[in-house]
Formats: sequence, structure tokens, C-alpha cells
Amino acid sequence: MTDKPPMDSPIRLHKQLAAIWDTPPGWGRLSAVNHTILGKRFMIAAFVFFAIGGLLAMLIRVQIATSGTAFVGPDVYAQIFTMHGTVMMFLFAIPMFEGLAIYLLPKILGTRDLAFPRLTAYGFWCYVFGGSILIVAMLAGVAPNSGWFMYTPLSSSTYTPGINADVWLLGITFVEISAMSAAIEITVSILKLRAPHMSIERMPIMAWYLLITALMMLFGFPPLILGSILLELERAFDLPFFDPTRGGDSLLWQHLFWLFGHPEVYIIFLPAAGAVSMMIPTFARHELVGYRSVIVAVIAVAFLSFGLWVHHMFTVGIPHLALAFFSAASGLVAIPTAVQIFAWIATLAQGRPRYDVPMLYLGGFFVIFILGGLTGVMLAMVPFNWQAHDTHFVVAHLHYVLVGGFVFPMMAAIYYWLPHMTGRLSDHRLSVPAFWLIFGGFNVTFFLMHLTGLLGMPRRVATYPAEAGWDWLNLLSSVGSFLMTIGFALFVMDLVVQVRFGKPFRRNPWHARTLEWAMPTPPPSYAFASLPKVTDRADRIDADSEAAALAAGRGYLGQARNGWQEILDVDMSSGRPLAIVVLPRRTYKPLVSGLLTGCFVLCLLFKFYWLSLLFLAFAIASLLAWSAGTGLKEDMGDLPIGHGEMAPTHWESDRPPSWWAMALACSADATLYASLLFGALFLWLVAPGWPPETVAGPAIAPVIVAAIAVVLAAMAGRRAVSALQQQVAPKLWLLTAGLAQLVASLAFGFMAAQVPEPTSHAQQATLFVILAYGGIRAAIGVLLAGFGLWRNHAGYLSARRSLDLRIGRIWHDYSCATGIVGLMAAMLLAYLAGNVEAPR
Amino acid sequence: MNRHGVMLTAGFAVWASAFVLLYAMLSVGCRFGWHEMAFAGTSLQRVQLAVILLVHVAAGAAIVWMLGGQGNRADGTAIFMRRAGYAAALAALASTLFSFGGVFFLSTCH
Amino acid sequence: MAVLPLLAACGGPFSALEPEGPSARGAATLWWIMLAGFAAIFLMVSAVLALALWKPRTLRTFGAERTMVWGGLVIPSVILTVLVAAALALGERLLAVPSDPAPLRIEAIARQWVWEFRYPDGRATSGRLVMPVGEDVDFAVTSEDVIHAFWIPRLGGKIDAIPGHENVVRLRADRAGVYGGVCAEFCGDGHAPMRFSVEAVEQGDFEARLAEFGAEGQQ
Repeated sequence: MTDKPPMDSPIRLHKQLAAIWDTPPGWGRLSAVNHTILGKRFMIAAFVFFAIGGLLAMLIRVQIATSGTAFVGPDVYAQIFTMHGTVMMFLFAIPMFEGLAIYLLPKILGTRDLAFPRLTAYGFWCYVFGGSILIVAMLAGVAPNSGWFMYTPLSSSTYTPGINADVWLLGITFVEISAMSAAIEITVSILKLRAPHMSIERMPIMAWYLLITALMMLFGFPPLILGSILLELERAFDLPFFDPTRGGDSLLWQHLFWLFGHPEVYIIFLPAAGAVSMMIPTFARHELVGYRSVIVAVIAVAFLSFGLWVHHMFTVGIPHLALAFFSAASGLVAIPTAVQIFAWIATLAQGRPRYDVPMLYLGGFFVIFILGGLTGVMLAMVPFNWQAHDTHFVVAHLHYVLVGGFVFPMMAAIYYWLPHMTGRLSDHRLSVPAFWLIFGGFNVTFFLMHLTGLLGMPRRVATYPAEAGWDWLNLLSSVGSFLMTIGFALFVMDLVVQVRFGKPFRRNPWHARTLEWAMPTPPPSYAFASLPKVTDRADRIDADSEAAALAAGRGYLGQARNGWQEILDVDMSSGRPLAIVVLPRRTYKPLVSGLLTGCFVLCLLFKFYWLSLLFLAFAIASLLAWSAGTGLKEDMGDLPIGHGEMAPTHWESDRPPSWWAMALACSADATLYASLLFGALFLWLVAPGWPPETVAGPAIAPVIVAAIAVVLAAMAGRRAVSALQQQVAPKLWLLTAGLAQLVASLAFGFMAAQVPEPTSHAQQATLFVILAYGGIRAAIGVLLAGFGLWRNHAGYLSARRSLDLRIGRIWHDYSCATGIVGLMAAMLLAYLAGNVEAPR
Repeated sequence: MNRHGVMLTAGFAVWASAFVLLYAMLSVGCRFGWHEMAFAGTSLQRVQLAVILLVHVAAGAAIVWMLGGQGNRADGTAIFMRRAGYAAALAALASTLFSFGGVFFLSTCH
Repeated sequence: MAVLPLLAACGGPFSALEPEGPSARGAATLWWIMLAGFAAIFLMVSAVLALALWKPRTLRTFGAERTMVWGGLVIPSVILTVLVAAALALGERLLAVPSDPAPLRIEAIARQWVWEFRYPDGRATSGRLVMPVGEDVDFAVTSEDVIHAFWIPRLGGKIDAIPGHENVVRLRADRAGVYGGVCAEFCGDGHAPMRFSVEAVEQGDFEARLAEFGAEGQQ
């Protein structure tokens, strides 16, 4: 137990901390869990996928450059445009911002790492493996070919019999694991792991943006994950959810897809806007104007963005009043966006703007994004949308929004933060011409495309007749796209030049006032030698003097202790330090878990279902093994954290990050389950072919057994915690909880197995899934109870160290509540299908 | 998440609830032909949708009113969150009227 | 003057900017109004941005808070309210609400990768639609396999052809002529060539024309 006072030798402190936090070279790199390393890896991988997506875009532009240039058939062309959209959305945009967030968040929040470093690494492997599956499939000629939106029935096994669609469904769901884990990690890190006394209204603005984005992901991605699971179940096991001949409805897929798909656009835009809100104040030399208004605007965007997905579906035959809801919300979302734009403009006006390369790219962002926003309002208008929908007008619009709202701010961000990563500055020689080529090429490509669309050119056509009159526009677009490509090539060269030969600088080249610059650059693995005490808004930091004080260990946790990777857990609102979070160190476990999860996905893809169960078991076991060796076998009490303050370790604290992570995971799962239940009701209400010939419902006896079991499990889970806290052995209660969950799991499984012919009608199929899902949740409850038993047996638990059981308690409570809801929904669905007849 | 999170999101939570209920009940009403049932000078469909909207407008207004008052806690965080929550609630109330005002005018099931 | 060739470029057999029916005309009018208005908005926002960068004093005297409130809140709200109201009023006029007498009803059935049209007298045509000018026609659109979308750009807005559902879109051709129709929703390998031609004929000629083309498809 080393418990020395803070030392004033920065070099010694650096050596001690580096020994704890560094990742070894060579093969040891694969064990990295450090956010600085993983953030960079995420961004590099995303950039590689961006290049692949860009290459596919070039092929598209060659194919339709004129009515006579088609060089591949429609089947290959379908793979090309499907992969272009898929790669750009799922493998570039989301991971790129995740990478930036992973790299920056701990640094702007004044802490040393994210909440769950191994989860970051696991997310990275899931992303890379999932993305690779898609790319390998493309090289093998079996890439997804139903469009990135995968509309059924085209993507169903009847019309796409090969594995193309399975590659999309499984590969993307695999990648989504990484997105969901990032969402949970980002949320928890922002809420709980800030620098001490950085109360929530002192956070740097980007933290607000990322917090809100992460929460949106938590509720926006589950509908897509559910949709993908259901469609894969339909393709693999013939359970009808979207098949209109058996009571399914392709509109259900569209709703699930766009309920994700539209918030997704803002999930991509908001982090970029957050980066803009960091860069503008630096270059304006004035703090952000309207900090609070911007936060309110972002909250408004976050909510409204969940209420406009049907503007992708204005032509599916929905009543005008419903269209009006979505049309109004789609227009409305422009207002909080305008508030942000004018906040940036006002910031520039209040300050003394200074020119540098990031500002140039931000100028491109302003122009392109505002144009995209305006065409977005046009498309929100229903009668115009009926004409423009599914034409190249929409292609133009979405590229203005996504390239303007994401790619340009990200390029600005790269020029802004790359010096942070490398310690070197750009010499403008290539970056300026690169900008003008990209900006000019982009506008030549896409500005004219609005007109192409209005002249009637539909999207996703591999060929078109010369007499349509679209040739000259398409040719100009193609020429523009090649200019843009040259620009991107220059951009890449510029980055290489900058990384290799850029001018080194000592510290904070932009004179920024946020915490990420209060550290040596490139940053050490532990980021801050000691954690700052933040007593004002975190965009008013004097980075230079702060950096010296922190490096000397004069902040919190300015010492090495027990070889622990320490950071501080704080109160969500006030930022008061609550506990020392001891982070897990470098390990290969995430890689192993990622590989096993990958094997599971591959088995599903190649339809080795029995083998897949084996890999699933291995993957789960490997994830459980993460907790081996972490934890305390004796109470440590409160430890000094600097500034004369004391705090317990997180194992001995009340609600550390892992507790919140479980709560958030339950919220995400609840969203998924709610989407399933709403989906079942939607089918009853809207789908053709209802009611089914025979209506299935659960038998009453197993329903009662399951209900009692889940309630019992929840009660036992609670009693286990209170027993432990009163220093009574929790073993019996844990056993009870585990057994009750086992019974619940079997009861749900029995009911699911009793559903007659789940493949005959959507009513049976949805009933089957609702019940099976309950069984899976109960089975996870068994695992968690068993986990508690093992932790108890291994001596990690005490009255003070009850965290493991309290996390289990959340799950038992949650699976009890959702289990009961699921049972009621199953019975309600059977009742409605059997008894409520309505005119169709 | 905590008191402050509730303050920030209460207004838009009401908007979200209005959204879910209106969209769901619109579909239910069209399915069961409520738009063809006369009621109170208009259709049953329009009446039930208007009632849902008005209840939510009232709830939204109540939240604006509650957050508009002075909080009893004086620390900086509480003041900041209350003001931000107030602005968000106001924005949400305006959004509710703007997004769903159509229930009074537009054809419900065509 | 530079605008003239661009306007001339707005033509073509599939051009939504050369409308020949009320639905397309409404959308085109809306488009030109929005284009003019939004071009003005874009120029004004750019001007404000330029002011902020090069003549910040004007904006500073105006005040940061006021810049945000007027630029971000007040002006966009007014524009949006007017625009949304106008668009919804226009949309309301275009709906296929029951009317008396009931308009001519033609079924449009999509399958990979051809359009079939069925007329009230039991005739059918394939890949070629015949409709009378000067009167509303309700197209009842559905699909027998995957999702397609029925679109005659010069006559009006599109509607999806969804298996298991029947969607009705009301269109009218004001002038006799031949217009292009396309499948607007990606529907597989034959998506691009899944076009059809629309022959709008004088009301008196409709029966005769239909008899000429519809014979083979008679059911």
C-alpha cells in the first residue's frame, strides 16, 4: 500500500503512471484497452471504410455517367449502391464519430479513460470483424443487394434467396453491438467520470452533444436491431413477420428501419455539430455564445428527430393527417438547428476570428449544410415530397446534409485535433487546394443532381434511356465526383505529410481553452498525470498553466497506487467526487470475446445453427471471464484522492459506472421489447391477412408459473442484497433467484414451444418471439444469479462490497417487469386477434 | 436519471407522449371507421384526437408553469437546469401545437 | 439571361417541372416558390455570416442574444408556419377523397418488372396506360410481389405499390399526349427498365383507344 503525498517531480510521476497505463509494443498492441489508442484505431478503420465507400461511389458515377456508360449489370450495380450506403452509414459515419468521442471524451472531461476500457476494445473488434464480413462478401460477389434500407419483401428469401441479405442483417447487427456498447459507455462516462467539481453546467459543450447523441443511440438503434433479428428469423426459419401472404407486413420493416434511420441522421450530425461548437470558439477567440440555448436546441433536435421518420414513407399510403404530424416535425427540426447556426455566427461576431485550415473547412460546412437543410425543409412538404421522393433530388439532399453536416466538420476536426494526436502542425500547402477541390467537386456533383431528380430520374437505376434527357447532368455530376476524389487524395497525402513531417510544437497550438490541451501532445497513455479541479466552465481553462500543475501531480489522484488505473467517479449533477474507479488494465480478453462472437455470427451466416449455439456459449463464457481477477477480497475503506479528500473504491460505493451501465442496458432492451410489442399490435391493426385461421395464445397454467417465478426471482434478488448488507450470507437467496429464473425460463420456453406452427401466420410468429424473448431474459437472470454465487464464493462480496449483487438485482427487477408485460401482451394479442373484428 | 434530467426532458416527454398516442389512436380510429361516425358536430375520430391533443397541451402548459417559478434551491447547477428545462418545456409546448394542430383541420383517414 | 437555358433544360418526358396535371402543377408551383424563397434565405444567412467574419460591429451592436433569437427562432418559425400551412392545404386538395360522381378508377398492378393496368370494363393493358384527359382518375395501386412505386412525373405525385395493400392516388391529365411513367422504388434487377407510357386521350377517344390496346389483355 503506497500512500505517499503528491510528488513534485513530473518525470517520476510520468514514469510511474506510464508503467501502469502503457500498452506494450509488438503483439501486445492487440491487448490495448486504452482510449487514446482505440480512438485512433476506430478513426483509422473508419477512414479505410470511407475510402472503400468512396471507391464504390466512383463506380456508381461511372455506371450512370451517361446513358451509354453502364459497365456492370443491374445485379452487380445493386450490390455497389447497397454497399456504398451501408458502408458510409454503418462502417464510416457512426464509427468515425465514436472514434473521435472515444479519443476526446476523457480528455475534455478531465479524466484518464472511459468507463469500460475493455468494452471499448470489444466494440472495436466487433466493428472490424463485422465490417470485414461485409467487405469480404463484396469481394466474393455476394454483397447485400436490396438497398441499404433492405426493404422487404425484396430482401426476403423469396426474392433474395442467396446469403446477400444475411450478410447485411448479421454483419450490421454485429457492428451494432459496438454502437450500443459505445452508447452506454459514452453516456456513463459523461455522467459519472468527469473531473472533480465539473458540475453538469460546466461541461464543455461537446460533452453535452455527445451525451445527447449517445442517449439517442440507446433508444434509436434497438428498433433496427429488432428489425434485423426478425427479418433474419424470417429468412432463416421462415417465421413470417413481413410476409404479406401470411399476416406480415412490409410496412412494419419500414417503420422499424426508419424509426432508427431518421434519428441516425441526427446521431451522425450532432457529434459533428459538437466538434464545430468546440472549434468555432477557439478560432473566434471568444467563448460559445448561448451555451444554454444550444443545449436546449440539441435536446429539442434529439426529441424531434424521433418524430419524423415517416417523411421517408410519405408515399406508402398513410393518411394525410399522419403525414402532417411528420411533415410539421420535419420542418420544425430546422428551428433548433438554426438556433445552433446563429449561435456559431454570433460567436464569430463577438470574437476576433482567426483564420486557419479548420476554419476553411468549417466555411465549407456552413455553405453545404445550410443548403442541405433548406432542401430538407422542401422535402418535408408533403406535395413536393410526393414528386421528389426516391429521385436524385433526395440523393442530392442527403449528400448535402451528410457531407456538409458530417464530413466537412470531421475534416475540420481532423485538422484541429490531429496536432493533438501527433504533436505536429500542418503547413497549409496541400490542405487548401484539397479543400477547394473537394468543395468545388462536391457542388458540381450534387448541386446539379437536384435538377436531375426533378427531371424525373429515379434512384438506384443502373441504366436510363438517352431520350430522358438526363445525360448531360449525370456527366457533369460524374466529372465533379472525380474532382472531389482528387481532392480527397490530396487530403490523405496532406495528412501523411503532416504526420511524418509536420512542424512540431510544444503545447496548445490553437490557444484553445478546453482541457484536452492541458496535457503533453501527443498525449501520454494516462492522459492526465493528475485530475484537474474544475471550478468554472470547462471552456474557460488556461490550458498552459493548468497543464504544468497537473503534470506535477498537483490535482486529484496525482500518484501511482497499487498498480491501479485510477479515475474518479463523481456526482452526476454537482461533480463532487464519490469514488475511485479502478479500471481494468490491458488484456487480450476483448479480442478473444470478439473473435468468439465473430465465429458465432459466421456460423449463423453459413447456417451452422447447432455449432453457433456452441460459439454463443463460448462467447458468453468469455465475457463472464472478464470479471475474473477484478474486485477486492477485503474492504479497503476510504482512500486519499488528493486535495485532502477521501473516497472509497468503486466496489465499495453506491452507484458506480457499472451500475448505471446495467440500468442503461435495460432501457435499451426495454426499447427493443416495446418495439416488438408495438410491432405485434401494428400487424394486428394494419397487416393484410388478419385474423389468422387459428389464433394461438399461451395456456393459463404456464403463464401463472412464469409470472410467479419472475416475481419470486425479483424478490429473492432483492433479499440477497439486503442479506449481504446485513452481513448475512446471501447464498440461499441467490440460489432461489437463480432457480426461479430457471423455472421462468423453462415456462417461457415451454409456452413458446407450444405455439402451434409459428411459421403459419404472423400472429403465431410474434407470439413465439414475445415468449421466447421472455425466456432468454430469464436465462440471463440465471447466469447473473450464478455469477453472484461465484463472486460470493470467491470472496469478492461483503456488506460494503455488494455491487455485483445490486447489478444483478437491476436485471431481476427488470426481467420481472418485462416478463409480466410480455405475458399480458401475449394474451392481449391472442384476444385481439381472436375477438376484435374490424372492417378492413 | 435524476431530478435535473427530469427537468430538462419533462416538456419534450409530454410532446413524445402526445406523438405516440395521437399516431396510434389515429391508426386505430381509421381501422375501426371512427372517421365515419358522427359525433359532436364532427367525427368521433376528430373528437378523440382533439381530446388527446388538448390533454397534452394542458400537461405541457403545466410543466412550463411549474418550471417558470423560482426553485427553492439556489446552487448554480439547479438554477441552470431549471432555466434550461423551462426553455425546453416552452419549445416542447410550441412544438406540440405546431406538430399536431392538424387534428383540427386535416382529413383524418385519407 | 443565364437562367433561360436552365429553364429550357427543365423539359423532358419525365420532368416534374413541366407539369400537365393539377397534382404535378401544385408541386411544381410549390417548388418554384420554395426555390426563390430559400435562395433568398441562403443568401441572407451567408450575408450574416460574412458580416460576422468581416464586419462584426453591426452584429455586435445588434447583440448576440438577438442574433440567435431572430435568426434562429423568430424568422424561421414564421416562414415554416406559412410554408407548412400552404403545403398541407395543397396536399388536402390532392387527396383521393370520395367524390360524386366517383372518378374513373383504374387498377395499377405492379410485378417484377412490369406494370399492368386494369380498366373498369374488364380490359387490361400492360406497360402502357391509357387515360382520358380533363377528368380525375383514381389509380388503385398494388403489387403482386415486392414493393414498387407508381409515378408519372408530369402528372403528379407518386404512390408505392405494396403487396397486401391498395393505395389510391388521384391524377388528372390536362392535355392529350404521351407521358413517361416509371417505377420509383428499387425492386430488383429489372428496376430501371420498369417504365410505362401514359397515353392521355380525349374523353371521346378513350374507349376506342382502350379497345385497340387492351384487346389482348382482356380478361
